[in-house]
Amino acid sequence: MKIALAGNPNSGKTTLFNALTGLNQKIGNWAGVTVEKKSGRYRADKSIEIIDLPGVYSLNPISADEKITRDFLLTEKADAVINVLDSADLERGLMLTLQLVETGIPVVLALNMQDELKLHGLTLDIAAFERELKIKAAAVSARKNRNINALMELAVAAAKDGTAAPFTAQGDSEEEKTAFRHAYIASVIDVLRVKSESKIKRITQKIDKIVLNKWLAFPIFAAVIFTMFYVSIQSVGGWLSESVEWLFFDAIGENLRTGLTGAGAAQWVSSLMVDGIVAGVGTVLAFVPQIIILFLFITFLEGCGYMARIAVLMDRIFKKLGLSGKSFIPMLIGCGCTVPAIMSAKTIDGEAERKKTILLTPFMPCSAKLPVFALIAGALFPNNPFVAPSMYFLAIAMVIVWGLLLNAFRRKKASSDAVVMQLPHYRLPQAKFVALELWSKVKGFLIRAGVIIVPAAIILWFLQSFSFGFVFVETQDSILAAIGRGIAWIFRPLGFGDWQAAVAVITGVFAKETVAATFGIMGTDLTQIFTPHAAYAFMAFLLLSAPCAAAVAATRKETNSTKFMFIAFAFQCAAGYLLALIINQAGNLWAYNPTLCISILTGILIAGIFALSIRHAVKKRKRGGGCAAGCGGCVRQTSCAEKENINEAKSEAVKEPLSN
Amino acid sequence: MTLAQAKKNTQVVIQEIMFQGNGRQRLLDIGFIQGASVEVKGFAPLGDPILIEVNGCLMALRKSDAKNIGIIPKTV
Repeated sequence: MKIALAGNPNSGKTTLFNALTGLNQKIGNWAGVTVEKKSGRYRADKSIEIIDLPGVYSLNPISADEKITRDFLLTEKADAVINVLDSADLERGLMLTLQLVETGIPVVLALNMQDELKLHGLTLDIAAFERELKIKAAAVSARKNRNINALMELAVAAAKDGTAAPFTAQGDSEEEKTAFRHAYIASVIDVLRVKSESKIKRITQKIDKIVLNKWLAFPIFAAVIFTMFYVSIQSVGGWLSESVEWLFFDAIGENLRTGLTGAGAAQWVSSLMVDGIVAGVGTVLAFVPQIIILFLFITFLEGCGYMARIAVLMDRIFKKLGLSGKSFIPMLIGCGCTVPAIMSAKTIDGEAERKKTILLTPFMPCSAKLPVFALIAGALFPNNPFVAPSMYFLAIAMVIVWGLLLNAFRRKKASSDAVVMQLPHYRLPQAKFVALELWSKVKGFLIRAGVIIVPAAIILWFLQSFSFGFVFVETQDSILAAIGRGIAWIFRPLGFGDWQAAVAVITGVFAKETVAATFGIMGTDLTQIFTPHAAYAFMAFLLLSAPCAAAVAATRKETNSTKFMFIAFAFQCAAGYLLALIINQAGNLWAYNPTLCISILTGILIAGIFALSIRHAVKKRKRGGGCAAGCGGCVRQTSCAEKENINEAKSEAVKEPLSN
Repeated sequence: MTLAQAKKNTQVVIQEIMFQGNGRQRLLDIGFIQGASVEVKGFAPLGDPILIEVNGCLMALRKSDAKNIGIIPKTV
């Protein structure tokens, strides 16, 4: 017997799924798409398969998730659907309920989040659901595992019975049907639910008054973010990462080498084990503590409802860059690891916004880039503590610059997506929920890192340990060095045309954390191959260019487009090259003639602003002209005309006080 | 009048959704439906997006999108 779980996002569907199946679940992907598919066996009766469908608001097949849910219900024929409802948000939930009923599959309601209902000052009349809607319902608490068995009994009975509730939305178009369903819900809602004073709403309003206050919002936001980074990257996380590194490289690695040599193993065997495998695994695991703590913060912020406020707070700024307020979350996660960051871009509505977020997120200084910055800054700028942290500002500046540039030069397309963000009521996230979410994020990192970074480390070890004749050699005679010498000329304009720097760049494509290690293995004297500004250019290049192999793979997976992956890769490399070129050439010029350097840079800046503003003005006029000319096929004609009306109204409003 | 012009702490009634495609359906699903009354709760700290209560749920909607929703103020 197949029973599907359907419900709105955030309705507690996944919690119920976990409660029903225990931890005995299979996670895969729906064929051809990137949405996760989860199925498991019911704990009490293994013959019942339970399928967790993506959280959706409706069954209109516009987004990928909704299409999957719909297709599943229509083609795979579940025997019954358990529709999970957030009891405190009944109106929205019932919209989906009616659409589920209309598919003809028996539906049973799981009225979840009863405890919150009380806080809202609401009570539900369970019997009324059966009386009014002809649907059997059970009040459950997925978190507390309450009443779950009774719910399953209802579902099994409904599946055996096989008849669906009688409801059909009337209307010719999908829109008329939507309106019909809304009217229907409005007519029954007051019978199903008894209202009184709402406590959680009052609490949420109180908190929002403070965290969304004009003056307090940004200081609070900055304090939260600072605390998060301080704890996860700097203090606790940094210390734990160093411990793991010590464990692998010094404790395990060196002892293994001594042991293998003692046992009479060939030099290349111990080198493969220690420098290849142990070092590869250690490099990956060293980031785990930092990433766990960072994700712990992020999961908590998401669970309690503050992350949604951050998205609202930042939306105004991100909108200017052609992004959504929700783009902040991937960028934040990107400071830990780009892979889960790209995965988290999923929630951004708006295709253009989502793709652009995926394109720009790898600019963030992920925790793998930090040791490289620390190494180079320490060697070349020993007396300047601001060089390494300046990478954060450089990353933010580049997101802004490229956001604006891509905005100005993108193809004009009438976007029909509306950016709507829900601000859920604040709630204290359940420890179990946080743990499960955290595990799913960390697991994603570990699997991808393990599958890509460890083999990459082994390939790298091979390339830098052997010559073309497959003879075990020192690094400077290896295949990698030969490749480095072959491509070094590309980086000469950037100031680091040395083969060792080229080799480091190549290893960076596999995984950024190996760059520092590569310099270490080659015994590179950084002050020999870099001038200070070339070193800074190298850091900038590493910051923007060619995200690691795992991130590139994640880009492909999330956009489901190999073409986009190549475009993104080429774009990021070009952006890094350009920035490094500017930094190095400006540095050279500065050394030659500071005044000339400043005047040229100012000139370029002014020309750039001028070009952008002209383009902006031309675009504006074109847009206006297109509408006034009454373009017949223009989809946005109404809204465009509306815009003009508003503009006119505005300009009149501006004129008025002047004439007075 | 459009939703972008609505004042803080006012109840308004949705008149028309001047949106096409995905955005239109998204808005309808959330509850921006002709004849529905929603409450403008305020604005984000930078003035945009607008915070609107629909069906007892707090939603943030960009002004540029709210421009495409026609409303009339609710008379009490």
